Amino acid sequence: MAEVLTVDDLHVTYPDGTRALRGVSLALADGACLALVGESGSGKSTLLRALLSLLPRASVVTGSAIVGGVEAVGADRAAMRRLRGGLLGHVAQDPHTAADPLWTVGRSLREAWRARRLRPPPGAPAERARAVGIDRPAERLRQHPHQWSGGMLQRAQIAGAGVHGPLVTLADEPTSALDAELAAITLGVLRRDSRALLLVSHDLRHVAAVADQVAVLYAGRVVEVGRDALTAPRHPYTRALVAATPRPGHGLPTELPGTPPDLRADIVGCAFAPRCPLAVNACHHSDPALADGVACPVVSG
Amino acid sequence: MNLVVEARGLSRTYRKGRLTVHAVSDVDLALAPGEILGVEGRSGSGKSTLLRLLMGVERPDAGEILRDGRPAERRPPPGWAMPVFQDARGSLDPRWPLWRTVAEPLIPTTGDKAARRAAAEDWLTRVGLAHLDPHARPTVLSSGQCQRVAIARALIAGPRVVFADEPTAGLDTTTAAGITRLLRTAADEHGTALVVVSHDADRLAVLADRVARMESGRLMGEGAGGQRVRRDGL
Repeated sequence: MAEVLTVDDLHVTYPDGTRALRGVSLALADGACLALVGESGSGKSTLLRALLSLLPRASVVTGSAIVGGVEAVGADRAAMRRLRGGLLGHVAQDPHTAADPLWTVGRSLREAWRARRLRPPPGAPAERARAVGIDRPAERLRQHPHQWSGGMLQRAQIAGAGVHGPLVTLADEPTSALDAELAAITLGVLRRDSRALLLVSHDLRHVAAVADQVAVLYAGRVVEVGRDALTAPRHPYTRALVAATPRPGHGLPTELPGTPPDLRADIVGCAFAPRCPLAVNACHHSDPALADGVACPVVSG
Repeated sequence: MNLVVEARGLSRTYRKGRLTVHAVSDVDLALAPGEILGVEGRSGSGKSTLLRLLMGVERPDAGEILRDGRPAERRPPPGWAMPVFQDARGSLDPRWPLWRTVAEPLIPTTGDKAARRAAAEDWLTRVGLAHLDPHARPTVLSSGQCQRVAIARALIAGPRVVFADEPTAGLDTTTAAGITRLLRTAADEHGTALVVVSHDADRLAVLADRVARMESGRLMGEGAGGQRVRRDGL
């Protein structure tokens, strides 16, 4: 299947010197769902910002990220407009800041059409709202964001992001404000609504249910990628992530001690080695490359 | 009768203009020492109102609460119940050294500052923060470490019950796992009863002895009602 998103050796260094992405390569096939998982600071959101040209101006970005034939790295205004205006749909992390508090939710939703100088077809906003599970949508869309719960606002965002059928929908923790059952429903809606979906989430349970491919990020690198990364994890970090996730019937979850490395400092060897239960001497010196979907010579033998 | 908290027919209604919200309706529950009751439910289902009623910071319109088998007066005795909040960093005073935050609940009972500091250092060790300087300020801590400090503060004065409102929301899974274990330890080793409110049903399923579900102000499910049902008895 054709690739709608191809990321190749992408590096992002923020103005403060934080190397948030350190050589990420990924591919997303048309119609598929790729999930990015990892702790805060692993680079998940940075990748989305790089695609949307939302990084601070003084950031240093190298490598390539191509969406539907358009290069997002160093995109000029015309390319940026094509990316943001049609190729990419975006569902942001915090629905409260994404919605203008002075506007009705309906007006925010109608912006999805207005931004392209279109008039929403009669009933279309309400229909979109209903599709993501908003009851009495005509009435609710006349309300303001403070009258909606975070979960409902997030569904309104998803409704807006999918209006023009973007090639790739980017979703940054779209369900972190939702209760478990609503999250599953909403994610189902998002998946059905999107053509190809790049999903950032720390909720491994939901990710495993909707993603075709999972990429596990640690300290700005992909440490494991594959269809079964969460169901049959191989990299020690992925295993730790899965062990830390509460699963009914599996007893208490296991904490991963320590914290990710300081990304402003140079990282020598495998970034996970200081926290890794399987680390051998070589892990502290040589930097493992991704081979057969996993960046760990200890587990791949 | 050694129940820590017993509630019968608890109700709380909010009125705003013509709008009436039955935040909590006719809730019965019972909580034994060392027991963890999980309360799940959607936003707006009345979980937080129920917590405030049980903590005694808000009074019910109807129903009664027994604390240690005695009818509740206006307020429970100081230190009887302690809260753990969702926003751990916001719940710590940024200007105070860690030991002072942790030792704060001891002020009414322990006049000796050196003794309070020693107790705080002991509790920082118990919650897995032995490596931290007790004189550090919370700004240098991660969110997970802040929540550990908040849990140490909640437990130091030996409360009968801890009320935790979304204690792992906003934390990384890898960090939340440690907090989850710490809450279980508080119940198992110190005999503290806990009410843990969360929208994370899977986490409550592995942490709590019983899980009740809040829906439109009503409490339902295995964990609701006056009888005690132990996890190991099922």
